Amino acid sequence: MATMNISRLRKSFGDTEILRGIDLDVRDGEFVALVGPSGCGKSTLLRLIAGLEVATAGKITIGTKDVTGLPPKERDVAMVFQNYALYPHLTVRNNMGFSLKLRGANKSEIERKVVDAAGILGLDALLDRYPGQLSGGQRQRVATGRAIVRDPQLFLFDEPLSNLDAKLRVQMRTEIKALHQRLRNTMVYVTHDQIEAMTLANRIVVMQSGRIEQQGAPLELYDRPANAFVAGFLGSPSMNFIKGQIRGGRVVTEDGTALPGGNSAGGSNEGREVLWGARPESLIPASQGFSARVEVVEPTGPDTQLLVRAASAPLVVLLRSRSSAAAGESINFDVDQNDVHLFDAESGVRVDAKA
Amino acid sequence: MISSRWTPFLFLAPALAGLLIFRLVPIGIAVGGSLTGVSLMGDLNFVGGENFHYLLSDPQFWASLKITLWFNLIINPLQLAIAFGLAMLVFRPLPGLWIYRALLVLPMAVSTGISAVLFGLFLDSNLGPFNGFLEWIGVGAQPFHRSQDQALYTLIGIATWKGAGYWMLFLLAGLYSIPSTVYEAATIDGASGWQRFRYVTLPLMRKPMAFVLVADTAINFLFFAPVYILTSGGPGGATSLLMFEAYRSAFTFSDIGRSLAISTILLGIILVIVVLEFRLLRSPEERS
Amino acid sequence: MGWPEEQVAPLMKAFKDATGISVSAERLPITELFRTLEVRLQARNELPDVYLVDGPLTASYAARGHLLALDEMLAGDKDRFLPTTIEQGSYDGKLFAMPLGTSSQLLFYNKKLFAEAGIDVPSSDPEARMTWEELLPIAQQLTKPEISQFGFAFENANPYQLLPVPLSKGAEVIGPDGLTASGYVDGEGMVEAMSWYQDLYQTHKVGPVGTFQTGVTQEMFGSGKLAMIIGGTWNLVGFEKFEDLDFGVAPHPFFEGGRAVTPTGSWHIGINPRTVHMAQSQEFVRWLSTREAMDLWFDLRQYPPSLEEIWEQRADTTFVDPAWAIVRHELANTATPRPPTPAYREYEDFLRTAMQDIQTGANVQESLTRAAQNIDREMRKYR
Repeated sequence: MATMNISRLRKSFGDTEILRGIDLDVRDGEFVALVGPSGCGKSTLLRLIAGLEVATAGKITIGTKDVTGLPPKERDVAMVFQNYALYPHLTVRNNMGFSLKLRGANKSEIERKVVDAAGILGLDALLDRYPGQLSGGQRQRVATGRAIVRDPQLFLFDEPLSNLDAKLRVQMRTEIKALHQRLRNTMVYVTHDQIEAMTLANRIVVMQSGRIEQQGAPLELYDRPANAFVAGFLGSPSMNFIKGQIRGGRVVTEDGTALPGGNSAGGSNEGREVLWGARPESLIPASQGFSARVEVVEPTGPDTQLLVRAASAPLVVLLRSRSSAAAGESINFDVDQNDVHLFDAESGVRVDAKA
Repeated sequence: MISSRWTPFLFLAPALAGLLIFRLVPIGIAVGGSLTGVSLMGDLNFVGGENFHYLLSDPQFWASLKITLWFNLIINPLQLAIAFGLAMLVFRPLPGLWIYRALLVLPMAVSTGISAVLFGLFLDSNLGPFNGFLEWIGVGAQPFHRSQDQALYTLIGIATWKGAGYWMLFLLAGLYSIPSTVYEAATIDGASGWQRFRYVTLPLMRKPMAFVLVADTAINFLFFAPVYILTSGGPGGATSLLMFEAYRSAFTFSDIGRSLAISTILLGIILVIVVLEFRLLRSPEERS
Repeated sequence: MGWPEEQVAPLMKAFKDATGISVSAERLPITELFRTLEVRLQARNELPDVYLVDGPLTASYAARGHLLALDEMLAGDKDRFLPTTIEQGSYDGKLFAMPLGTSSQLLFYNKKLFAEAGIDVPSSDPEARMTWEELLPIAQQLTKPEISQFGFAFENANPYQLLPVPLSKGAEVIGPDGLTASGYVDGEGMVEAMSWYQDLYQTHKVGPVGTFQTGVTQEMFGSGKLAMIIGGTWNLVGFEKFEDLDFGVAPHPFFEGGRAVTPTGSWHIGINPRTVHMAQSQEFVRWLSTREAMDLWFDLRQYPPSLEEIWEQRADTTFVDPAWAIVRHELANTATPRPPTPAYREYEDFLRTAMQDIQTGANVQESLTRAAQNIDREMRKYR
């Protein structure tokens, strides 16, 4: 168990800069999720932490130890790979005990730790199988078990669930969460799936193009995204955006539709070109508000998802109830002042209220 | 309409026919022929186990068998080890690597016969450049294939020069098929370079190594051309491998029966050794 | 056949001019000739129609039905040939291969090297021939490693050339039945003779080791790197190409207290009994036996002729003096054909290997015993 500090970390492959200066503090026992689209540098960052890649510049500290130039074995980290990277020629037992064996632990100690970890993960019956004889979920558990056995300072997960089918992914997600709550180890978890990040992490770090866009508690990011990218990346279905201009407390679109302006639409922000944003579940059918034409109705059971068009833009609406709406029908929608997000049309930065 | 039970056989028929005509029939002829003798006037007659029985009391056969086994005991592990070493060397990307790869694979393009002739000239005791070199560095000229002590090892050297690059290709393909993340997992688990080789590379290379060892063994038991071209089984019988003995029996002394008896025994030996090698190199999953 | 095109084509042309039958000749390197012939003959089909037979292989081919008996065809001609040549071409009392020539071996010496060393040249009188015991010190004197000069060598390491060594010591080189090697090939006399041979190369180092091929020793003698060589009559013409070479000839040496023995035997020609061109084949062989054809042949390739009449009328016109007199003496008195066994091919093959190995330093007794065992094995089929 340990803290981790990363400062001004850079990494280039040839002329290509993958990480452009990362600063990150991870507290002891924290579960940090690194999210972002493909190529944002999140996996590279994880590999730098693991020691599989060498930093071009900057510093990584785990606990009190500067590990920037150290090989993986001296960092006391464990890693779970996307494709599990199990040793195909070793049994589950030996896969899990491999690191202890290399460390020269005695047989009874290895056996005890392996059996403990297997118990936690429900692998008891599979200890003498080979990876080739296991299902995807079982392999994932073995990969996790291999990490647990070592009781490392830091757990690293590199998209560990993305090779599983949807149902198994949800189940394993819950298991990993329970595991963290039980072990209380510091964990860094890379994923491109924002739901995994939201559900698992104490803190989410959103990355893009080698930089950290925003970091914070999941709901904090969800409620107050610092820019349009973060706003669009977190949440599913993702946030709706429409271009417009702040005029008299409202956001007026090109075709003249007046959208609710929210808390930041007053004062000196008047006349500013913005990106108006509202989450699908914030759009509420109302007697007032702006009018939208229903194009598609998708009932999912608990919810109903509507695809509507307002101000020439497609919007996704998520209703927490059954709906009698039909395609072709026009419905008025309103948004609570607190649920409107405004971003600068050019920079995408969040527009705050100004006097 | 053909019943569906027979349909698979219909599709397999061409392959099975090929197997029968080009593999099983010649083997049948060899084994059958080993039970026959040819009279002076060319008449074929059945002699039962006589050819084999005679071999038992034939000192030349035992000497050849000993040489053949010794030859294989050395050359097969040697070629495997060298091919593996070469594969490891050219596995990691380095600038200009393709040049090394090409150089290593080049001997494949030279036919066995030609390479034997080339080495004959290269190692010649009077005119060969290699002996000139050895004298220059002070080692002194060596007789190589002209000496009873060195001939067999000279042949092993030539065959290895020719074969190692070829076998390297299979091992190189094997190395590339090991996922890099398995190495990374081992690195994070604390394995040093040697430990990664010992615990990851070696066990995961079992299959390609088994293939190379088995194929190489089968080929080396039938090793022939350099013996024929360079040593004719000599000097002093030092290189009279069984295959050469079989050839001589058939084509120099018209004793087809003895030749086929030797071939049949060779076939049996190869079969036994290949089965042993396969067992030895089976992966643990298959063993359990 | 392995001879140069220009020595063969005129013969074929003359035959065509005389009979209208054209012959298509296939030439092979001498090292491939016997192997190829063996494979072809064992296939037992109609080709070749006519083929060259090495004298001592007559029995082997005849015993296996690869040769047509020629007695009837050449009934009136047999006594025109030298008796040793008819003997070599016969098996089981019948003539199977017509002799085209014969051969003998002489001691060639380099006059210049002898003069420089102040050594008297060997006598050319067969009655006063040198012994091997006399030859060795001379060879030692003429061996100068510092300038890569050797004193003495046999032209090659074949039984044809080396068997006279044990025979001179009185050794039996094959069993009386012609089908037993053990006790003879590795008998006491043979071991003793071959040990002497090995000593020449390994102990006294008067000869170049590893020179198994005729061409190499010829070249060394021709270029003055070898003072003495036991070589075939073909060298009388062959050495002419070395312009600086001044050589003399002397009779083949023998062991003191032993008898003088010289190699002999050469090429014969035989007919495949399965030929579909029987009449033409017989016509060809009969034509080759005529004086006209033999004269042409002697002009083209100067083997000692097999016809008595050519010896009487022509040989001394061509051979270097005193070679003609020596060879004639040897053929009449000391020439010993190779063992008349149907297994000569196998006998020669294994014995040659042993002889080469012995020259390069292999254990004499072991090499000969191995050869004897192998020969005996291959002789089974003729018993």
